[in-house]
Amino acid sequence: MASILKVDELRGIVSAGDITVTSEGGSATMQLQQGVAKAWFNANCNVATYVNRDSFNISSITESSNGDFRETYTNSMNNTDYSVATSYDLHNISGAYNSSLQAEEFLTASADYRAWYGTGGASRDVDIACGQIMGDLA
Amino acid sequence: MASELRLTTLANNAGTESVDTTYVINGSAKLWTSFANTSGTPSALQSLNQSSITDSGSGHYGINTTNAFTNNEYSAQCTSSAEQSYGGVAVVDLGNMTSSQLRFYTCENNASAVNDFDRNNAQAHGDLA
Repeated sequence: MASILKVDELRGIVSAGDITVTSEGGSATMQLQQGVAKAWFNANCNVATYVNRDSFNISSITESSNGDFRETYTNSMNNTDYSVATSYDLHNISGAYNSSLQAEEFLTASADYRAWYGTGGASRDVDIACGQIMGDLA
Repeated sequence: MASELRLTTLANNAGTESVDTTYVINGSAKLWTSFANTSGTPSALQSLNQSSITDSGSGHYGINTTNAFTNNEYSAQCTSSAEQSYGGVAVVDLGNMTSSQLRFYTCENNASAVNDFDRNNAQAHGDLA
């Protein structure tokens, strides 16, 4: 029988920030909060003013220079040691080579990214830039 | 006292947003790590389900899990930051991944040389054993 729990907030009993879920195989448990992404974005960085197409826990995107931008969090991270996974797509721009979107500056309130390309050590505008942030919220 | 809820859907109180619990369980990252390597030795910063980091040579890493995955077919992503005058690429070493170790390496964008980077991140989604 299907069941639905309607709540606006989940809290652990012993510790408010610790809710345990059981693994798919049933032999391990893990903390629910730790496995949930705390922020993510899909940005268009190939327009005059960079814009996030969609995002979670991101308040703004700010371009510093071509391919160099900052994503600011709505709710800050607890420290600067969080983990970021990224990707980008140049969308077949002639003469360019895909490389990587680097997270270069980890701040609690934001992170800076740079889209490198080719072999010349340069960054440039990219059609799609994505990132997922794992870690602890403040 | 510990308690357990078994349910199929989580929804907000207004009922305007909901998610099947399979997305909560299967969509949650089962492993993630953030570590530095500015001196030739990886230094853990923050992580989930990481027991240790294996330094398998310059730019090569193995992220060992506390709780293993059911197999080596989980989805892994990684990034690295060189903080140099060139970019870099972090590559998941799919051929050498095991259920208990996520492997990846980092190489320079300007020379394709495998090298240590200052800051490294990896995340994985899949089924834990």
